Amino acid sequence: MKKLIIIVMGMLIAGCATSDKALLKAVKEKAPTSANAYIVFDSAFVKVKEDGSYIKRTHALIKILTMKGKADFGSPSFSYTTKYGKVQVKKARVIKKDGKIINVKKDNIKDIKVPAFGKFFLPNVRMVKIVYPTVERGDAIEYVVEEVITNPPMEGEFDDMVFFEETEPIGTKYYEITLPQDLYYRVYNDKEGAIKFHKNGKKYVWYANNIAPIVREPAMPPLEDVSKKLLLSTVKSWKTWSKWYWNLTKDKFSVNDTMKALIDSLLSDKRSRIDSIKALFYYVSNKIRYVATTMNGKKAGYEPFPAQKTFRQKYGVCRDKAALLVAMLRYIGIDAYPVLTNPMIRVEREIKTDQFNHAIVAIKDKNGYTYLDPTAEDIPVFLPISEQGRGVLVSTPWGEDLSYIKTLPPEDNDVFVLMDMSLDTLGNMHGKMTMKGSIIDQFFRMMVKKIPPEQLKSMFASSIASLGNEASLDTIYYTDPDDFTKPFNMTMEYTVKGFAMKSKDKYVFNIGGGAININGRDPFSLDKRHYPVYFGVPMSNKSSIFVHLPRGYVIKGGPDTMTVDNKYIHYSLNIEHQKDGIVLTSNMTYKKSLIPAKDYKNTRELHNKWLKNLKTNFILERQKRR
Amino acid sequence: MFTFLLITLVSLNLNSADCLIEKDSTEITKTEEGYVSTYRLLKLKILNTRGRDRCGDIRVRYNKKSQKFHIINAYTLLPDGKKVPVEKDAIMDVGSPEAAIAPEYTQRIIKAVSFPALQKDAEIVYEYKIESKKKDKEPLFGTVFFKGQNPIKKKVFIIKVPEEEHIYFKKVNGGNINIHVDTTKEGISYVFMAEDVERLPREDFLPSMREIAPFIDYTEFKNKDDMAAYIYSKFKDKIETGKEIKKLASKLWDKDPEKTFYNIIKYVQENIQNINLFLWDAGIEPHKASWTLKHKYGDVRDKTVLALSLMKASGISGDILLVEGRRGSYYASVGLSSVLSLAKTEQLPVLSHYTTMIIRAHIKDTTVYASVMDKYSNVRYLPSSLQHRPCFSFMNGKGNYFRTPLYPEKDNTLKMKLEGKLDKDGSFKGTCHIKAKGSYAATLRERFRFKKQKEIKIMLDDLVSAFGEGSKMDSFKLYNIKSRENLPELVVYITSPNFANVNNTIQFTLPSTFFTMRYASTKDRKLPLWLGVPRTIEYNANIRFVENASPFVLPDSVRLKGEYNEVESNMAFSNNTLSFHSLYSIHAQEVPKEGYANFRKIEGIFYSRNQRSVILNAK
Repeated sequence: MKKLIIIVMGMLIAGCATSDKALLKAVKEKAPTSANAYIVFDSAFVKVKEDGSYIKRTHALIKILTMKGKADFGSPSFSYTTKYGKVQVKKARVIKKDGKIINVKKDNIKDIKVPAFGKFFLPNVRMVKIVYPTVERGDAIEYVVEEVITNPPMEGEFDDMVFFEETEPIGTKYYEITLPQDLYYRVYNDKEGAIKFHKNGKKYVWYANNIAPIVREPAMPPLEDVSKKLLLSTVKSWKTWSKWYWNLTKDKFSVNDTMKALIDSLLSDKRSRIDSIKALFYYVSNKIRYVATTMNGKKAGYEPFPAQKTFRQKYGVCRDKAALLVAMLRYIGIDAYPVLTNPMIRVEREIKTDQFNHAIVAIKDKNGYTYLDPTAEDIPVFLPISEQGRGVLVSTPWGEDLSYIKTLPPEDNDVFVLMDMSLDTLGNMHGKMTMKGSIIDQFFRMMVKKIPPEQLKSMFASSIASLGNEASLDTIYYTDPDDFTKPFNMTMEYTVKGFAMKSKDKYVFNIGGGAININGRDPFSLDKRHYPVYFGVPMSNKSSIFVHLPRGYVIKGGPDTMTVDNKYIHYSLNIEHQKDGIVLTSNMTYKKSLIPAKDYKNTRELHNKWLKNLKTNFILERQKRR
Repeated sequence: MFTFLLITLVSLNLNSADCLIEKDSTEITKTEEGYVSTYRLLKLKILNTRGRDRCGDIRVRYNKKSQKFHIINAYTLLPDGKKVPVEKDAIMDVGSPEAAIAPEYTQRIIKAVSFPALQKDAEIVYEYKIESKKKDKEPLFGTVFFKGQNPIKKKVFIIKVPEEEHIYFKKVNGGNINIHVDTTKEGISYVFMAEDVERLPREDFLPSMREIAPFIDYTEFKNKDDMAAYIYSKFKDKIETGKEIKKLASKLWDKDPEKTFYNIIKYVQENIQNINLFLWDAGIEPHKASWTLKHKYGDVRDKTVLALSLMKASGISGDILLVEGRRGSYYASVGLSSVLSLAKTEQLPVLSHYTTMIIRAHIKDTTVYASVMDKYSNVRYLPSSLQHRPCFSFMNGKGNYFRTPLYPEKDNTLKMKLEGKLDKDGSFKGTCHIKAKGSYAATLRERFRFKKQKEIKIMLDDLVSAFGEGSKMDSFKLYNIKSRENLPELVVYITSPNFANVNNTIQFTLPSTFFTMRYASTKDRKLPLWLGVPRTIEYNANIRFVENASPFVLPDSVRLKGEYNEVESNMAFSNNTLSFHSLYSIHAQEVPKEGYANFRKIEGIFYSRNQRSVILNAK
């Protein structure tokens, strides 16, 4: 019976078997409220051949509910890389709410070059765009689009990643694949078992009905890490991918005489192995600019330019910079390899699907692999903090398994703030704040190189603007951002008029702080969460603040010394009263990369307790004369 | 010593610059047959890694169907004098953003060139020519800026036309631009040149380039009527009242012409999908009103023509206005960042000044304005970016320059009222009621209109976290978010268990106003501050205390009045109730640098947490 239902559903959804009457009925059915569009169905039918070439036929029907829905779905586009295949629109129609069907004319289906975006100029990537005319609220758009891949990235193999959740509700999501090869697959993030599966010989089907939209929460993990998804691949082992990429890159590592001369000059005063590695890493990361141009070779998007070309041009995208660094390191006898990774999402280990979007470098020694990202400009270490914990696949002739970069403890991902504040008798404050630590060393070093000084000043002026009636950034200075041998630190000096409220013989002021924001949003703002709070990496923020009080005044109230702690956070505040002021020492440590939703409530309570204490104002009173 | 001093005096200040434009020379030539070509030579010196990253890839728009693009020279000149040519695969035709948005409107593409071997003190040399494949009957017009974000050593702009043709030009906003006109056998050459031009400072909230940078306007239109006649000739046949238009007009008709106008504008705004191109991205000539109505999408030209056609069919008189929006288009002939916008001088008829269009209607002896592309403002309210902008009317071939209206402060207000009670533990329960008008109404709709209920809940939970840790949004009401006739309101019911700290004292700070922003964070400015439109923000709070309390520290009352803004703020405590009142008004669209310090002082008072903080004795 189950088998029969699935076959009927497949037939219904398949373009060939979906009658206009059935479509119209689907369009007329009540759509969920509070949505901009309703994806009545979204189906894919994939037929893979022995050589890995395939045709993926996508058939979708989307009901437009608002003008935003029309803007979001009214002109869908499908991109493709000319080196691998093409995209063809087989059917594109508007199904009006009154039942009338309007075919989209050929003129409204355009095959165009993808636009340049940021540092990416990709002349061999195109997109097919369907512009639906006459669409009004309540109408639906329908398309059948075929992706025809004749030259797959890995010959004889197929892999895919299919998401079963969107930001709009879905009636039915259906994925069917027929292939001669063995298939490995797994569904992720579907505890409730919403995604059903059926297999019939070499045909595999997954489907789900009535899928609620994803609602984003502040500081949640990337959508790809938490949404229901299906990973499938014919590739049995990560070693296959590893060897495949090695074979694609191994001929790119030759160095010419100019390169040799440059390497020799860079290393002329370097006495140790690590100093030599650093010198080559800093050269590639800082002297070779990041830009993506025409995608090279038969395996466009994967295959790097030869190291000699990248060296000559002095630019390249991640894979080009990685190949150049590998070439330079190998030339001096360092055992270096290119690495595939993804700094944005979790790479799932179980199914050997291409989940990579970035290339870096690994150096092998007796202790294992050390990773270097030569696209990370202006940082003193080999890897940016954001790449800790990420999945990596080292490409070698013998093949490697997927592994994960070590995540450093919070004290190694730190910010340290040293403040010296002087309060005068008018309630004004003169402050000096020095920031240092590994996070500052990476982000601020990069900021001062990339952002023009006047914009930098404006950014920091905005950050102190709310401290009082009139906060002014007087000066900002920092250590040499190009000197990677010394830790980087930045100092701001500022004046805040009306920092303290004055009332008769009292002053009241607040030091502030204690809050955390991730991408500008408070991760603890929600009462309940569906998704974890995601910090990216464990980290700590320590500060030491000395507040010089006006002569003759004493503290009559303020926050208490306090510590809160659980599995995920450790916060402590120590207040020490001294002769002419107070010293506040604080530590906010996030012990893990994320707080799971089940432990959110308890952690939020601790966080709130901490904030409440910090919110208490300091009250100063004039000391009575004896 | 003398020589050194002289060099120092004439050298450009390169601080904060990314690159030095050593030479930027452009020559536009129009032949007797009507072929137009643009030649350009650009030499840029890279000053630092920012310059390498920002200037290393040069993009030029062109139309592959109607133009030929020849690269004459493209190489990097290293500091040691060695030339490194651009490699073939680094010269790329890629899509333009506007073609990706609307490929059915424009096929414009970008010629992108990535320069090799860039390092400090290397020089980019780029020389190219764009030629029209066929005769171009359109008149020449444009704007050339002689100042930008990087210093310029030498900038030259030349227009060559046949002898019988004439170019009108005007220098605006000063600048040391030398001009001379030569008549030769080939025709007339207009040469504009400037040397040693300092860069514009990078400051937040700047007025448009046309207000702060020197530029040359040039045009082949003889006068405003000539330009009006030209545009009108492209538009007049597109405004039509055929069967389908009349049918729709009758559906939208109401005995009250104001209501009819509302219905028409709202229909065009909400039922015809916006194709978000700049005004002339897809050429001058719009689609016919019936085409736009049938296809249910259109750019600003198409949608405005449809709206006017529906008005005409309903007996509402009105016209189309070309408006200089604050943001520009890609239409400028030259310039590394070729963005056009507002001109202070309005006398030269240059079509590329105008970046958008609006509708003007005359109803019951009043004149009303509407933007057909706007989705969030009240229907008859012009978005702030379109208020008090230079505009041009062209209907019936008669040209006229004037400005769009600037609505007074009372039409652009945000009122926030906080009411509730505070219990003995410092927990607050109450409401926050926000009423918005004008641009604030648009902001409120933009935030909430297309959000799902769950998304709104998360947004408001986020918002009420300003009431203290652990705050919770119990429920909310949104009014007139979809309706564009009445004013939107938001009421949020809040429980905040940690609103106040209570021990011997009761301490809390009222949250800042929502949906407002401050403009003046830096200590000083070199250029004027752009504020948008005049406005008023009113903030009132009434908090009843369950337990008896008495004032310990309350902020002093403040009243400060300046030329550009003013503030008053009072807090009082009596009968166990805390009352707070704060009123902040911005009177101007723009603050000159001389008035900035006082503006900043007043703004600082309004946003200062000290004005909203209170300490009471707990009894």
